[in-house]
Amino acid sequence: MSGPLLKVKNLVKHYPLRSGIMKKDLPVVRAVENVSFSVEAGETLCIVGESGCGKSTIARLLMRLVDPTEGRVLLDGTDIGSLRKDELRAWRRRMQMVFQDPYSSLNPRLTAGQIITEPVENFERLSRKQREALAAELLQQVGLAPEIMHRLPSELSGGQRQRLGIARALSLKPSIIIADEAVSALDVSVQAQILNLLMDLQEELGIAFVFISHDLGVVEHIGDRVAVMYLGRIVELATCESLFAKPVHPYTEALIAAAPIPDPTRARLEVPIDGEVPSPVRPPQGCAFHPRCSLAEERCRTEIPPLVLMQDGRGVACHVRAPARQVTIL
Amino acid sequence: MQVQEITGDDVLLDVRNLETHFFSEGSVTRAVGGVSFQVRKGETLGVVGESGCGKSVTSLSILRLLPKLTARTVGGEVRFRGRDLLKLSEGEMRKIRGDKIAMIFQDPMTSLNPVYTVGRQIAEAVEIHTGASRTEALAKAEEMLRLVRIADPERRVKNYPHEMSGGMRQRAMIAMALACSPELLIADEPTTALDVTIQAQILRLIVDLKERTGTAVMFITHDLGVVAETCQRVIVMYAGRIVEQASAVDLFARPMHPYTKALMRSVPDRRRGKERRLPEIPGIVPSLREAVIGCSFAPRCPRATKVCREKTPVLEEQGQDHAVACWHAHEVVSA
Repeated sequence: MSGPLLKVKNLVKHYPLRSGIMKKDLPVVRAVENVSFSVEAGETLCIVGESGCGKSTIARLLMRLVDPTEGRVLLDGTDIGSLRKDELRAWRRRMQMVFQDPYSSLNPRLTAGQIITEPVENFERLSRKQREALAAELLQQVGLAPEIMHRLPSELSGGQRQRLGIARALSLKPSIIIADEAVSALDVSVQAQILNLLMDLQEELGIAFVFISHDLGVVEHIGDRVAVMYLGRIVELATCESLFAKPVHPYTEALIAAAPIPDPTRARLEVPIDGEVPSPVRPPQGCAFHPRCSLAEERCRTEIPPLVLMQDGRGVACHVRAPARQVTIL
Repeated sequence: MQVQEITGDDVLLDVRNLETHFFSEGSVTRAVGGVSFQVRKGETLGVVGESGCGKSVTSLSILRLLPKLTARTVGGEVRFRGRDLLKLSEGEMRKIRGDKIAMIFQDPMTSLNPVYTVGRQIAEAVEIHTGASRTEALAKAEEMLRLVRIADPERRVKNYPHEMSGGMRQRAMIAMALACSPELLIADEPTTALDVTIQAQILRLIVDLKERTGTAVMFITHDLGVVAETCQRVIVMYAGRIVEQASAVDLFARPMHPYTKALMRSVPDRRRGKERRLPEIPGIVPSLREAVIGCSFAPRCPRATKVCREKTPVLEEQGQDHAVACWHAHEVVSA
């Protein structure tokens, strides 16, 4: 089958602030606004941005844990929004998720072995022997000793729990894993172990990742391509290499400049942008970034910049840095 | 040679062999196992380490803010301008907290009282410690909000914490901490819960205010980047002990302890070029419930030998203002 593994088209998600009957024009949180991207088999697409930019909402939309207000998510060409409940169950095998918090995302009353074989048992009956063999195999795949299968999550360290979360995601042999801040709660030394594990698994099994993170260092390390989000929209979409070598969107630039560098001789304590992210309930007119942008022009205040395809293949949504004479990509 | 003692007027806080234990159903967790360090006047000292290394418990022990039922400082001294804080009465201690030594925490939402306005809370500290009237204290609160660069301070003093964003709440916390011009500010992961662009603003603010007021800062963080950007000197903690202590420039240029080195290498860093794999630290942090024999890092250390497993290394001076607790410090430097 040709074409990308996962394709996201004009995805929009609005959350009503209050629910009510027959009320019109309720204020809505514009969590995701017209987002499109695709993920090829075996690649890692990172989604980066600050709190409230919509990155976690995208994860939930991809898994269809919430339904989009508009737009489509296609997995291998099939629109997962059009699937009936029983069909969706089968499709979900191919897309699995790893969560941020290894403490709250594991059932505390199940043993490690039960946790990682439960997804498979949703689909087929396993004998005790089969279950143990599967658990041992999965544990080994994520670098845990098979003895651990009889332990409870509370008896495991944070790193071990995150490995368990990954083993659970692997159990159904998915073609894509959505990892939402999967290493953010971990100490750096454990984080390094988990990042290495994810990269090894990708090489071995050819799994694609949508890796959602706020940490640019991690993104640069693990990603093939990056989508930078601001207030529900993608502002820049590029290969990792080109994005970090030369950010084009002023927000990307600011984000990279704001990350502290572990070298006191180069410490500059830069404050690249003032102010804070505006509310997604009343996003600014025009380009959502314009109130904090030093390059903002008249046009930025009125017109939403489209994601424009640049010469080097990246997409940038900025009137100043990427004027829309090029072809607009969607 | 033992670590050189700096005495005299230069030292603001002198912590000696601090030991804090947590007690639960028949077990003792040695959260801080004999820690000695000094904070000099006007400097920013970074305390860095991973979860459970004892960095936060150290700061809570200094201010005597530990949960009384489960934790106790069982040994050592905390000399603040020559007086041992551990020997003060609760009343005397209360006069020091918030006045001479102030603290800011990771999560400003839980450290601000949700039912009082921000201005009222800042004013309260000012009233208690300076004896100012309510009106004077409220004026001071407004001035402090202006100092921490909150826009529109006249209006913001009347805000409740929930009406502010995370970054603004952290600014308000800093305003409250600095309202009584403390000599020492203990900042425990003050930017960890913030987005990077806001973190950059808050770090800049702390550094600027420190320069302006001359307040010494003890900056507790897990983030080596934050340390490099803000601190003059750094102590690195592991399993309840200090393993290395140096000037920030020296520490990053010549880390000597194998743990410090491993910690620095496990952070993705593009300046090293795109490496396929990150160097890992094998194994996990030891349990602090059992008494550690030898160096607590030995089970994970590539250089560990017999002596490391048998004798606990002490912090020893290895060069100008650079001390390491490692039996193989010399070899590690050359490696």
